[in-house]
Amino acid sequence: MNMLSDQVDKTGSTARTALSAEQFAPAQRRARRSGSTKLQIVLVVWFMAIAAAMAGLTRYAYTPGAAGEMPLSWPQNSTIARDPLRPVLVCFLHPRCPCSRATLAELARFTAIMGRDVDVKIVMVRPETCAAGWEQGTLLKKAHEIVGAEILIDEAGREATRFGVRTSGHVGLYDKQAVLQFSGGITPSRGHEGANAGIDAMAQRLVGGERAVCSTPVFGCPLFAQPEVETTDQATCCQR
Amino acid sequence: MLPALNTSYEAIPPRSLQRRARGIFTEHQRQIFLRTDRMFAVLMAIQWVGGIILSLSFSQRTWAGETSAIHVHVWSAIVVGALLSGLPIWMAWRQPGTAATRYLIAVCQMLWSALLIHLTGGRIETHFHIFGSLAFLAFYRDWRVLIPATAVVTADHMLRGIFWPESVYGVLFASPWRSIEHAAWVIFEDVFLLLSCRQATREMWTIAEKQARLEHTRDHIEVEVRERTSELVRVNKSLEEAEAAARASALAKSEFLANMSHEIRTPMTAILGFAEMLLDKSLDSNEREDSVLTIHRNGRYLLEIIDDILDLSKIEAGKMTVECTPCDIDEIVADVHDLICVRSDTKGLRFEVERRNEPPKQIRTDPTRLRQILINLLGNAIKFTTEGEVRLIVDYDTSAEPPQLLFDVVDTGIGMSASQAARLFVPFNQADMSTTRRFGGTGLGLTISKRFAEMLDGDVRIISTSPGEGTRMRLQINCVDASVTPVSVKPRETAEEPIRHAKAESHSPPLDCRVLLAEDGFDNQKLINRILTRAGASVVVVENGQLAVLEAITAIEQDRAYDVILMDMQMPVMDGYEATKSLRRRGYERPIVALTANAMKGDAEICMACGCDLYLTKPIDRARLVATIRQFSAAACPVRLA
Repeated sequence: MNMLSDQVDKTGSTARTALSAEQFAPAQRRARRSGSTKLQIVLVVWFMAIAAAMAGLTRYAYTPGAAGEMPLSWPQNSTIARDPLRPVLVCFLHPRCPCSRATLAELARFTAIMGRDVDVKIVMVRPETCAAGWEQGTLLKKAHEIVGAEILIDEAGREATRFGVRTSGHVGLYDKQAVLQFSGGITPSRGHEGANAGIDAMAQRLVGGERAVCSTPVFGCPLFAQPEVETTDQATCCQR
Repeated sequence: MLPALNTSYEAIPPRSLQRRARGIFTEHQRQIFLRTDRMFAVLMAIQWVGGIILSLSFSQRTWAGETSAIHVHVWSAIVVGALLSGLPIWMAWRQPGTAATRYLIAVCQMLWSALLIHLTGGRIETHFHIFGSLAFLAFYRDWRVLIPATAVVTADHMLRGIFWPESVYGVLFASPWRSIEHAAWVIFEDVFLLLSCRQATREMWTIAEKQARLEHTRDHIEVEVRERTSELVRVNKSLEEAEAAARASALAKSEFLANMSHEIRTPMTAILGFAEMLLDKSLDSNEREDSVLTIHRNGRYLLEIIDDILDLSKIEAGKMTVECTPCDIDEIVADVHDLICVRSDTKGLRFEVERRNEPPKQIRTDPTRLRQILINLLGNAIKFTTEGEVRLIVDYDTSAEPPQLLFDVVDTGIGMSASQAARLFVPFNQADMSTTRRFGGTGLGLTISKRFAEMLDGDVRIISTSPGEGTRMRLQINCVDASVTPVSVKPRETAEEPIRHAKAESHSPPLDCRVLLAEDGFDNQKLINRILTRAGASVVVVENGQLAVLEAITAIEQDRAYDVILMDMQMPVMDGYEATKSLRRRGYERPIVALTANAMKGDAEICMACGCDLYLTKPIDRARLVATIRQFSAAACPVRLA
């Protein structure tokens, strides 16, 4: 098999000459090496793309939502009824936030352990522009499945505003004296169930009786359609 | 590296067997790689679609108040999934079965585990995908594939353990030992998978060995079958040829028998016819003599036919032997000349003997067979020549090594065509079958002559022939111990043997002797008795050997001993051999002449060994019989003749 190659003759003009079999073998090897090099480059680029994508995904998972500030004592103007004989746990959720499934799962475990020792309130925040019934969905259904939890619909997000929460999955724990004991998320990352600092902190507060307020990042969707504010992806005081 | 060959079998297989086993193993392994690559390519596609469905199920949209957008997980499932599945599928398509493909598949499969765990929110059940994937990778039966897979899992856990420990262990700070612990569980499974891979590889190798042996045996059997089949075909062909030859021979023999029937019946007709004529008392002496001569001539002709048949049978049975004795060429040629002259004169043909190059006086050969061949060749020449001449040219060719004696028989007869000449030496065949009816003959003469010539280290062949222009045939024999002094050929006195001897004997004085004839055949008793009685002898006849012994001994005791005993060798009760031995044991020293119909070489020795002094062959030659009796009776004392 011959290959044609351009060769420059003495006069400087190019001439197409045929390569013999002996000349073709090195060309074939060069072609093979070139192909191999291209494949290696493709593999490297491919791997870097995947690494970057996985790193990005992981980073996204561990990027909390906007940190809200709950009032240190129960808001006077809150329409949520509070049992003065028990600590109150209030959890604000966006009815359609996929990450909040993990929050509900953790809450279910928590209430299963704590039983009736804690008054659990789950508040579904319905945006002002959404009609009644918008909050219906899988999350609401799951919320109803938690034994002992009271499900409330926060029309136009008024209660969420009163409590200063901005991200779905924000949980606040108030003691019998209506003093804030814990504020933050109860999942380790977005949509991720499992051991987390939030549950640990609330348990410690309820059992050990520590008085200092603890907060953790909240991983969830924004409750309100607002421009993004700075977020913190670092742990707060509960992560010491 | 392939496992070492199992040498625990009864014999170490040859190198070709090892090479074949290695080839089978490699091919089997390649097929496994190809099959598993295809399976993973399908799985990659399923995982991609499954990942998209999972992401749509678990986290379809992300929300901010009432507004929403497609969740990052959905884009991840589509894009990252495409990256994780696309390249392995492409490699499985373009470079199936290669190490690069399966290592890439191993890496991507583990990364799919990470992605699926992420998409499902870290569900513990999704972690089973890792262990299932490792087990699936073991389908390659290549433990090396587990290395990159395990490395990906270990690296993922270590990196997460460093940067996002809560993503793996659920705590913010994790001990590095926890990464090692997670890796150890993966390695735990790897150990079992590795052992499984090695065991599978060993079994594949055993299968390859056995298949190689099976192929080797099958090939060997195929070769054997081919050889046996070829051999069978050859044997069948030989059998068919032999059958054809046997059929042809049977056919020829049938034709021969038909010919023989004619040849035998023709002279028998003359014999019986003229014998019957002799009963007619009105015949004159000339007519009687003519009848007797005719009977005698046809009788001798019958004897020739019988001799020819016996000769051919002996030749074909391999029992014919020839002598190698010094003999005088001059004498042989003279004998032949005498005999042939009679025939040529009868037909009015000229017969000449020509000598060239001074043949040696004596050569070592079989004079009887040489004479027989020459008589046959000259007899044929005369038979097939109606006018002209027949010549016998005796030549001595010294240019050949060893020197050869050449006898050319040249005639001016009818000649032969090429096709006739080609069939000339085939037994029972004549130039054409019509020849039998025109010229007579059995078709054996030339066949026998050629065989005799070959036995004498020579040959008989046609030098030239042409229809209507005569024939030249040549007998050539090698000369051994040729003499120096040539001797010219001289014709001997003519001898119409039996009749002339009879006439000569009729002029001899009558026999004056006593002869004891031991013969069981009635006609032969009568014949011999009459011959000897008419010759003047006194004959006593007994019919078996026992009586012969008794009569001979009694005669001696009674002082009337017999001069000669003619002993037939084939008799009932006691044959001639036993009778002769018995007489000799008893001290009988007088002559005993054997009468035997067995003309084979060796019979004479047997007769002599028993104690006979001479033997005569049947049919009896009257003149020779009388001459023999005269010779022994003249001695009248125990003579042992060589």
